[in-house]
Amino acid sequence: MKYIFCLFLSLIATGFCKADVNEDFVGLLLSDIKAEQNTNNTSEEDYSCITIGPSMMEKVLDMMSNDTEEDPAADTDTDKEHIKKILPHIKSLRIFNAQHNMDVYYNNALTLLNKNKNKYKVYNANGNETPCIWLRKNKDKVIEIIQINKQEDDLKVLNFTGDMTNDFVKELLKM
Amino acid sequence: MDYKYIEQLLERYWECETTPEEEQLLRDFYMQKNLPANLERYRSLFEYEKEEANISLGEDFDEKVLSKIDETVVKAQRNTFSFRMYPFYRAAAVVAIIFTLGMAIQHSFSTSNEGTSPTYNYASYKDTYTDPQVAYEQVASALKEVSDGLRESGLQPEDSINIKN
Repeated sequence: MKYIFCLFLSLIATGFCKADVNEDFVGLLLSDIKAEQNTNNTSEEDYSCITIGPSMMEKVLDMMSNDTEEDPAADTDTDKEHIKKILPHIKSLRIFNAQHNMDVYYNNALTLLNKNKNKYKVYNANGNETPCIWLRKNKDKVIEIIQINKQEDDLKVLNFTGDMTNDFVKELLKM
Repeated sequence: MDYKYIEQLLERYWECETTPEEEQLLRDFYMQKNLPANLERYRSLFEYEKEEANISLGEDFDEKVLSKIDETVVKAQRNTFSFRMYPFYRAAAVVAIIFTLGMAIQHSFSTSNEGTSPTYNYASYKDTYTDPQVAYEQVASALKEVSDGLRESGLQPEDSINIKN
C-alpha cells in the first residue's frame, strides 16, 4: 500500500511538471526534426534557427528607450513607434529557416501543428491557405503566433511568444 | 503367623528392590481378609494395582482409533489455474488503476491547458545575437512579415482575432 501511495504521488508530481513547462512551436519542431533526421535523410546543415529570448528582448527595449531619450526625433519613425508599443507584449522570437528539403520540413511543421490541435488553432480570416498563421490562445490573449512562409527556395517559420491582446494585433496591423 | 518376611518384602518394595515374583507375592498376601493393623494400611495400594492390571483395551478400541484418524486426514487442496493466477490479477489491477489515474491526470491537464497560463521553457533559449541592434532589426523584420501575413489572411485593424475552432 505504501509503495502504491508513493507511486501515485510521483505520478501526480510528474503530471504537474509536465503541465507546467511548455516548449514553443519551433522548439517542438526542432525536436521532431532531430528525431526524424535519419528517416527523412535530412541534415542539420539544411536549416538554421535564430533565437531572441526574453533577456535580449529586454535589452532591445532598453536600447529603444535610450534612443528616444537621446534623440526625441527618433520616435517620428512610425514603424519604430509601433514596435515600441508592441515589444513589451513579446517575450521571445524564434525563426526557423530552411533552404534545403523544404517540403520535408514544411510537412513536419504542418503535421506537428495538426497533432497539437488542442493548443494551436489555424487563423484564416478569408479562407486563403497562404500565409499559414496559427495561434495559441490563453483566455483572451494570444500567447503564441506561428507563421509559416513557404516559397520556392526558402521555408521560414516565425514563432513569437508573449501576451498579445487584440490591441497588440491592431498596433501590429498598422505597421 | 510370621509377618517378618512380609515386612522385609515391603521394606524392599519401598526401596524398589523387589523382583516381580516378590511383588506378586505381596499382592497375593494382601488378598487375605484378616491382616494385622500395621500391614492393613497398605491394602488399598495393592488392591488398586491388581484392579489396574485387569484393565485391558476394549473391543471397540480399534474402531474408535480408526474413526479418529479418519477425521484428521488432511486432503490435498487442488489449486485451480485462476487461483494460482490470483497474485498476477492483483498486480494487473493495481497497474490498471495507476494507468487509468495517470491518463485521467494527463487528460485533465491537457484539456485545462487553455485555462491556465502555460510557462515556456525560456531557460533553454540561447540568444543568437549579442548586439541588441541586430536583434531589433530581426524582430522588426519578423513583425512586419507577421503583420503582412495577418493582413493577407483578411484581418482588418478594427477586427479582433477570433480563433477558428
